[in-house]
Amino acid sequence: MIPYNFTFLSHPKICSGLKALEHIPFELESLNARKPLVITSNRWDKKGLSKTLIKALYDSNIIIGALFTNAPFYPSVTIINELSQLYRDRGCDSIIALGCGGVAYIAKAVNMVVSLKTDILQCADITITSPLKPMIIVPTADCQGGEMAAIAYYERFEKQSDFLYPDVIVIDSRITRHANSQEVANSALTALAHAIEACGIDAPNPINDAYAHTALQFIYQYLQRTIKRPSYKDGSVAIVNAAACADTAFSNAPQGIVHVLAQVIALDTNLQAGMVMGILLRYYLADKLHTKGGIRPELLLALAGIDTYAKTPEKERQKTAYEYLIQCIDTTREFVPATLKGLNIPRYKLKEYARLAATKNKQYKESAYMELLEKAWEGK
Amino acid sequence: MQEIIGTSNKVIEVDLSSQSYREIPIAEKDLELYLGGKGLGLKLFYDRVPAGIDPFSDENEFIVMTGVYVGTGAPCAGRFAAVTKSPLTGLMGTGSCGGPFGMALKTSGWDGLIVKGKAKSPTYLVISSKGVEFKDAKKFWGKDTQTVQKALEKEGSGALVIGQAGENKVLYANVCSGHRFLGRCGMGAVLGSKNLKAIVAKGNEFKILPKNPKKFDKARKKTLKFINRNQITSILYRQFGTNANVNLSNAGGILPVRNFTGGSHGEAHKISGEEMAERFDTKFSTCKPCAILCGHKGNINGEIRQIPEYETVGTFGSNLEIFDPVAISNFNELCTKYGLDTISTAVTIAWAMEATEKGLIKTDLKFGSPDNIEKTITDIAFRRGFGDDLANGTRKLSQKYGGADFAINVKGLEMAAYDPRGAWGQALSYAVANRGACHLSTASFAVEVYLNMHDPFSLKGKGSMIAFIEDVTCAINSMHICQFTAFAVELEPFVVKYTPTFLLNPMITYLNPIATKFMDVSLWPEMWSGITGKRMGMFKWIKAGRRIHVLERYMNTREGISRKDDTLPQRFLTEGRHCDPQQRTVPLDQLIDSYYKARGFDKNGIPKDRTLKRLKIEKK
Repeated sequence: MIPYNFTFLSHPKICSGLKALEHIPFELESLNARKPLVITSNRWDKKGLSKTLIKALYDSNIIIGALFTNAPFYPSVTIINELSQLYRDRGCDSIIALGCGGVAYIAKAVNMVVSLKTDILQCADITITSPLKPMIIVPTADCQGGEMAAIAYYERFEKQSDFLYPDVIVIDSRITRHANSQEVANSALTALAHAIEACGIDAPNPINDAYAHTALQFIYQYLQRTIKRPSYKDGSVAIVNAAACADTAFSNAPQGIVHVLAQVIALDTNLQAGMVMGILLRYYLADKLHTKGGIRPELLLALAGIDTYAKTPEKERQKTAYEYLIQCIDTTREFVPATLKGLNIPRYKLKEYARLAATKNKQYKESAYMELLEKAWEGK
Repeated sequence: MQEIIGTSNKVIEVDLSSQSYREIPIAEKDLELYLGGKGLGLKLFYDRVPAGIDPFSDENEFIVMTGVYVGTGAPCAGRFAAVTKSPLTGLMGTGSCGGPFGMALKTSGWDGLIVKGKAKSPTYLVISSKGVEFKDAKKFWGKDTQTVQKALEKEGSGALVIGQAGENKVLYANVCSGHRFLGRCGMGAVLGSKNLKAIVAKGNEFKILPKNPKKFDKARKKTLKFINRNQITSILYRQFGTNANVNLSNAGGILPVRNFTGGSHGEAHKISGEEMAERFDTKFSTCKPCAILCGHKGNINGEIRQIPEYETVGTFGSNLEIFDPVAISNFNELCTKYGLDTISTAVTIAWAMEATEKGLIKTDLKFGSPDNIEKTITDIAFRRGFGDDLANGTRKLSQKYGGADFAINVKGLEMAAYDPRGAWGQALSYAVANRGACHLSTASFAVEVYLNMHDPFSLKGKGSMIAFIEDVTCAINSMHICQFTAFAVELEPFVVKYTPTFLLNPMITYLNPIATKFMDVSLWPEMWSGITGKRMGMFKWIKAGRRIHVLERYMNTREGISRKDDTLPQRFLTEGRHCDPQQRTVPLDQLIDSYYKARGFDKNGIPKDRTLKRLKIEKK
């Protein structure tokens, strides 16, 4: 049954799989751009990813305006201003972010500055009303969430706008297979949390659900093998695709309790948000299973396929879906403990986290945040 | 007067909640394994307090340990150590202080003091050999450290006092004893949370005598001879105080300038020890007893004041681009009064200046201008206005307002006045130090930049060198003796003194683990052995230091610390110093790998089970 009302926007074009990098010249030209600023981190540069990217652009009309290989993990005002200046000085007309996390966040912030022709700090108060400069993201498999969504993180600001989607997401195994098992686990857990929270909202959105379900399907199918062997080409491509789909679903739904709490905890502890999401998700799902709406049975369809879904009695679909999801989370057991206590997060800090989360997102009460934190800490 | 031969081997435990106290014996075995001072304090904390407690809760304990040397006449041994859980970092907070409280506590018959619980109303304690008196401190609440110390002079020969900053739980409030401080990690806030304004020790009740006077005296005299022969301890620091470091750091490019963007500055000489000694006609004003005499006082604008130490001058001076020693002295006096750690206060203000410049916040603070700084310090101490945010330190500030790349702290503790990009060993030391960006964990900058004994930009030998210095430093802080004696004790023995630098440098760089075996630091364990009557060889002593360091690390890992926290602010990893044409940054990952290997930690920075077992640390 079609819902009475829903909205959905997914702007980016996804180019995934074999020789996806070679699509970049065509994509740039169709965006009327020829001189991109390429941003990547020292780590990916040392692994030869920037060379791979440049090689893919050899036989084209694309001229790289500037290649910046020292992007830090933290998107600070200093680096954003520095790169914006570089963009202008070299007369660039587009941006390619080669990598996830800090690289992608910096690229988005630079795009805002050069497109809106303003200072990065003023961007927080400006409503973006027109498309920004063309931007392509070439993600690695260490996604931290939000890179491919309609959101930008810089300093401690969070800016949401439909125009913050990248124009193209290029997912190529030559780029994705370089992350390690821990990073793959974090990426998968972030995508899992975003997807589940996006399709678990009260107002159903069938198109958003389709994206979330695709993300879940990829994760369930590929996570186990990819964690064991992160260089597994298909697996790493699937995990990044899952992250892209989950980010789109995340952009079209309100931020969930797991996402908000994980962001707050990660900020204070230097832990990866994905890791915290993985822990919180387990208890969030257990809680949801026993609440009135419960877990949506359609998740079983996405995770296990039509045969299992059809074979499972209707009453048991919720529980089976829950078991499948927990199985996904358990795959990361080697890298992610089962409780917040296992991460050595002191109990006295939970109150502070709940308070901060309630300030950040008023959709839930402080007590609700605290309840989930307590459960995740104790493992009950 | 009664006598204590060696150590009394007892500490007094005070419960503020029930206003009671009891005597706790120290096991001989623990003394041998942990030496005393910081080591024994950490061991007591480990045995008594569970992991994960709130630093401001009743469960947190404040432990003061005097160490074996205090009161025996050992040179530069008028010191004591304190251990608690730091509210600034959430980790183990340790401190060393040269104030009179240590001597007073020891000569009251106690090797240490444990404070637990929380008083219902403002209280102060008077400790004597007979026990503890709980006294009403309402009349002192809201008063500054100097006023309270003066008022308590008659009650005992040494006191520990907090100022208004401690009462208001400023996360980097310190504890004052005489004109010396337990400066770092916010120990003043812990006492403030316990409603404890001051602790007074009567003192002068016992005479401390070594068990083996002949052995002790021999080692003591040799140490004194070395101190009086060494260029740094007998000339540089004695004449110009620790501010002699200003010119050395400036020349070596490790002086913090403009919130650690520079490295050196043309006007730095104006705030150097040499300049201050001449301008303020300085005289000695030191810890007691002391043979180095690095502490000075001088006539500043017609008033006799303590001359600010190097860390204060570096962070309040060049780091804020203020080159007026009188202004720096004014800031120092205010921090002294309110009980604020000068390093954290100044680095937090530097963050505010840069954040203002970058538009993240709006304040009246500006680099190069002393205006509004005194008001800001007062606002911090009383948590007024934006001072309330500043009182939480740079880590919390950057979490709230952004600017984490220039929030100069490690694990929450603000960095001392040495730029790590000019000495990679110091960079590694800052990153892995147990209490945060602590310069006293190794003081490797001296080895690399001042003494040129190790190439500051070489990756070779750094891991094992830092691990070795950490071990020695932990042992020194457990004896307990001034860290500056290391210049004399380590550099004056034959092998080091007479090996030319061009040979010494490559030996330490390329053959570090072997070179350290040839370092003769036997004077310290000899004195310890003379006092306690127990056998203590040099290698056993260094192993004890390693045990203390690894125990502290292990305690921190139980609070969530791992490799992710052993890092430096982004500025040092991505931006070069203005004074460095090569724009070098710190290659931290490689340094950390070699350090973990030398330490016996796993790749995530957690001590391996076999490391703990080898050091006889019982895992919890």
